[in-house]
Amino acid sequence: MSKTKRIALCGMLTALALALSLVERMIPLELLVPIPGIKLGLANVVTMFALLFLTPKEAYAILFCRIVLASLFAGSVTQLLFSLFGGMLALTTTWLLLHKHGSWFSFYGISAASAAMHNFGQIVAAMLVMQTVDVIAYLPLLLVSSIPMGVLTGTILNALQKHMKHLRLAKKGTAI
Amino acid sequence: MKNKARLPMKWGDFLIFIVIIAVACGIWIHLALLQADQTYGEIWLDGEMYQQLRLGNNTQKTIRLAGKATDVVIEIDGECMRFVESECPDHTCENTGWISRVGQTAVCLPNRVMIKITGSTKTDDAVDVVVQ
Amino acid sequence: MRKGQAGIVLAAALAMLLTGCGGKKQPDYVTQDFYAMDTAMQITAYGENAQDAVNESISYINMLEADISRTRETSDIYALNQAEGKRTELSEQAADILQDALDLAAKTEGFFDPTIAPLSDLWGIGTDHAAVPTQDEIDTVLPLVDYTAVSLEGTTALIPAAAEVDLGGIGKGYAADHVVEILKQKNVDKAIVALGGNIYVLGEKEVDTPWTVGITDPDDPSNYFAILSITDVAVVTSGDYERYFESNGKRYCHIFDPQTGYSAETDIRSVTVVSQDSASADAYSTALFVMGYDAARSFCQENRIEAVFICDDHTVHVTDGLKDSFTLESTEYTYEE
Repeated sequence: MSKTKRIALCGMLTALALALSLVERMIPLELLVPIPGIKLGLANVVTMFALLFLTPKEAYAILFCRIVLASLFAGSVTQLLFSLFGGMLALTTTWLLLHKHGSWFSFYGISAASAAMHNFGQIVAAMLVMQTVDVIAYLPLLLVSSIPMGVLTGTILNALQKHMKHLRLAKKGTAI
Repeated sequence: MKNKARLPMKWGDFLIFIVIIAVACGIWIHLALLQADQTYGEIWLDGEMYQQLRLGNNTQKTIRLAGKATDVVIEIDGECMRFVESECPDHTCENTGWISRVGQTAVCLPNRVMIKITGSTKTDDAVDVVVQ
Repeated sequence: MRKGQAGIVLAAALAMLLTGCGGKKQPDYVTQDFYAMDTAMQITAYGENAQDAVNESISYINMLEADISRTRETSDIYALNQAEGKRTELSEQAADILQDALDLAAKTEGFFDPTIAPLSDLWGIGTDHAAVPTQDEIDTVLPLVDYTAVSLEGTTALIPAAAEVDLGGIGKGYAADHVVEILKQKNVDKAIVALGGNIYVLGEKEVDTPWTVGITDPDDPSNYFAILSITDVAVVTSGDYERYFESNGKRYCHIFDPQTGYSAETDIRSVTVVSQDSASADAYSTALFVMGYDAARSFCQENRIEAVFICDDHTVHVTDGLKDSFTLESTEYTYEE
């Protein structure tokens, strides 16, 4: 893949992630978990994808751009913090687990772990911001919900991977 | 190759699921146990809840709030709370002293401020109501 | 097979989600704290109609207060106190409660007196100008304290100029009795009504389990020293720890002796009356406190009043009818048969 193509792809993925994170705002998760700024982590699908088909560096860059832009568009410092904590933790987890992808783990497990870490990061951020440990009460619910979320993301990734192969976007030498 | 694209679940996936559920259950049970003997100090202003605080070994706090008539100062120390100072004319609230057991209350009438201890479990010797 | 396993995990996760957040049980009772009649009140009612019954009780209490308050300029009692010796028309309710107060004053030979107000105003206990008045001041005010000077005919009342009627002494008790009636009408058969020290426990706590009512420890007002296990009765305590001020090392409490004009000089620290009727329990507890232990004890005997006494020598005395339901908790006091 040429450098121009890569940059264009990064931009596209950032835009997609941004769109997803805006869509995410419309899902009233806060009704279930009353922590201001908490999110499902749909946009993380994009960063996981970037990790798979681009390099970790680019994935982190996309994540960072998405988070900063999203909070510029419609957000607060609190949300920036939550997203940063959740997003970075999720991405790092994914990156680490991907090393054993295909042998130890499949996409299902990796995305579940990623979603779990995303939620964990959000709660840690909430604990710091809200100066209380009470919010940890929501963690079990969020953790368990990360399993169906992970399976869903895993399915998406599986389908994507199949099609991406035909598009030949995957970088050379990727484990997939 | 085609087989691989389908990617069935691996043993590690189940490990991840189990770890997630285990951690969730662990936190849940831990919180449930903690909740059982967690007591709260509540401050009520004119019939409305003003603040609810977790009470515990190292809770140390002084809260000043504006009551109906004057300012009221409430002190929280560990499992106990009390009125320390009220500029109100009758000082009944200060005379009540420390409260710490679930169900105990103290009231500063002129300011319509009430403090009470709540929790999910009543201690064995707790009564339904206290006549004052 | 693999798909089946994933399905099981998913199902398990969903089940946990559902039990995790859907399992909250609604409490089957309603508790409401509110302020009325210069005191903090709480009503806890059980059953389906609890909220409705509690709301109605609160509006009843507010309505009653508007009628009998001594400080609200629109109340009938305020009008009576300002009438300067002229006959005043009262509402039926105000007349009813005044009649109760006068009856109880007669029964207690004036130890409970609804015309004590000029005296308590003079002392100002519970205000920021509480002070021991001079004997002259007391002598000026004392003749005004005389329930026999109140004449009530039907719903019109007359009191001497400068005298004042204060129904606060039985107002909360009277309110408690009527709140219990309201609750019963609304099919609430289980409730705790706590109107600033006037408690009414309605029904049983559980089948064959009475309510437990703690009696405040006069030395440590945030704790109770004894427990009464009782059902369907009113409990009222009068004690020296409620409202008082200290001057020259002496404690002057808010209950007055209508004979001397002084804050009650009594060997009783607190007296708790248990009765079917909250209004009379309210008046009796005040009267018994002023009488002092010996007189109070024989008064109880004569009038079949059930009570718990704490005396200043840290002894606790319980009338026969309450012995089975009384449990001493504190070791600071000695129980005397």
